Amino acid sequence: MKNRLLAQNQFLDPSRLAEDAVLALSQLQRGSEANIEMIDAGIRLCDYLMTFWKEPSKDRGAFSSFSESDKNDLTEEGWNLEEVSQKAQGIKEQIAALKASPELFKEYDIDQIKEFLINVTTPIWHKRSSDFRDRKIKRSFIIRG
Amino acid sequence: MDNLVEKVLCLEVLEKISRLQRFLNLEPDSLRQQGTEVVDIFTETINCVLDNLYPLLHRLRNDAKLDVWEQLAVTRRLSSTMSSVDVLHAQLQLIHSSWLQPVTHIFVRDILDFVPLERRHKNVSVVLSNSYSFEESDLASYFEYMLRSNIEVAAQGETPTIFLPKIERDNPLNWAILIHECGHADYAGVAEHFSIDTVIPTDVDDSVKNMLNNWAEEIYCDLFAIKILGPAYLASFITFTFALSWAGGSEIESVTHPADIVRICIMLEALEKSKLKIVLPNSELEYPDIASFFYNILEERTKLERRHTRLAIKPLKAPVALQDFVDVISERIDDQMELGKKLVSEDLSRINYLAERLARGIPIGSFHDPILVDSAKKAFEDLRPDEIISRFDEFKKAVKEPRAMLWEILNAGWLHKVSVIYPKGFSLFFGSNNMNLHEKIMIWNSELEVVDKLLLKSIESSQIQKIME
Repeated sequence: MKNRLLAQNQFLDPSRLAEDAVLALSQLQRGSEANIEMIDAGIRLCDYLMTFWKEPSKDRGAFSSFSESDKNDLTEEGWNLEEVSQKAQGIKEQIAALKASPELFKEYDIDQIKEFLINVTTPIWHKRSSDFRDRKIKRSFIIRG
Repeated sequence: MDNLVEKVLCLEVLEKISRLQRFLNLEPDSLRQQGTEVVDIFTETINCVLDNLYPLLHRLRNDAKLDVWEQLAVTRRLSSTMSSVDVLHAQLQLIHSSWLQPVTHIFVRDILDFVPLERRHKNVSVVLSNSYSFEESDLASYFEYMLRSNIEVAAQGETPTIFLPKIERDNPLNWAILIHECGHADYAGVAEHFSIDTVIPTDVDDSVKNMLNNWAEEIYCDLFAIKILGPAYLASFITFTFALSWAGGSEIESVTHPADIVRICIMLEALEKSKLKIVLPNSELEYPDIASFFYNILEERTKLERRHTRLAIKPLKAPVALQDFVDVISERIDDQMELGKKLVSEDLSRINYLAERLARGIPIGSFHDPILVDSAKKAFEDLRPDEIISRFDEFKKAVKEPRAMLWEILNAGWLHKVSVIYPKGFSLFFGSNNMNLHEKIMIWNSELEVVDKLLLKSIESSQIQKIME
């Protein structure tokens, strides 16, 4: 039996999707067989990036708090969410085409996709993995490390 | 070796997971333990954390060099995994667990001998901590601080206390960081020699003075640990920061600490000045000695993050020449420690022998080079009976196994880890075999447990010999 959060399918980690997709796309670049689910992670990420910041999210539980925070993380780092959405749409189409016929793509094109997936998720990854860093910075004269 | 940085990082993160699993399996020391359901949910969660590593372990088994986007994907995933370990570690508060290894107290007491007698605390407590951080606090002040908005607590006296993360309970190699914390526990020494009046320039404002005061103490504690332990402290510090300071974290300074990378450069300089170097026999690892191996893998990771994932944090930038500041602290540190107990390069001469012994599964609490023992025996055999009697003490001393010092045990342990344990890990996790990840991590856990036990036994027997001396 799934736990409550998973049962509602509310957890989505954009960073993890990007990492899976990058590793799978690199497999394709090297001419190896790639895990389809991992390539699809790139498509799922693009779907998320196209919509997460404009859809009302009040009835989506934990997911809504993530999407709100992801939205802030990207805008704080200077990303224009409208442009992110458009770019994600294009990248999604490219990944779908790449899945069907990898031989039609040049190495450079795949690198561009990988660069986008990693860069756009970096601010989100920073925030979601910041606990230790923040704790370290917040040490006081009472607790010394 | 291609992808060395990512492979070492992966092994370090897997080691933490394996230690977390081992801690969960410790025999409880109380009948009031919770039901096994709590442990079960930890185990299940750890398995999910491991599942997240499959794609990159699969990739690292392929020898092709990672491109930059793959490097970022792999290091990010490993950092997120380490972050999960950090979060789970905090939840160990839910588990009733064993107390410290008694040998941890012996270890700390041995370190405190380096603080001059007139300033030495009789008791420095060590406690297991739920937080994955090595820290020190005066517990009396800490309680007072925590309760400040509720009641007034005026605890008498100082109670220096060192915090050891629970999963490092059995890992003497990472106890090296406790030595830095012991430096903090020398309250009188720190206050007397590194105060604002003696080290900090007078022409800076109060907030900068406060920051430099903290930095002076941190640099002092690092140098204290380096002088006691040599490269083993640097190795321990770097693996800690390597696994936990992602997104350029090792280049971030704070009001309380200089950036890790700056601290590491200061320690490297101190090691070079003292000619303290442990040569690596394994050429596959690309670097000639332990300090340069660990420095370079951290620097390679930092370079990648500097280019692509640097955090937008404004540097504090101290308005002083850091080198001059460090020089003043370095000059003073010798007055801070018991002279005659400092580590010098000759002390490292037995490290290779000791590491070879560890590789054969033999504890290293004491050791004598067998060639020297043989030659002493031969010289003894050629003597006349009257000479034997008159020179008996001399020959007894020549064949007696001297105890191995703490710094020898820990440096030999690090040499063993880098030259034997890492290659075993590379082959287990990134080589070709048909085991699944859960089977592999069980084998890895057993390997690490054997080394831990050897080192714990070595520290214990060395201390017994010290008492008998």
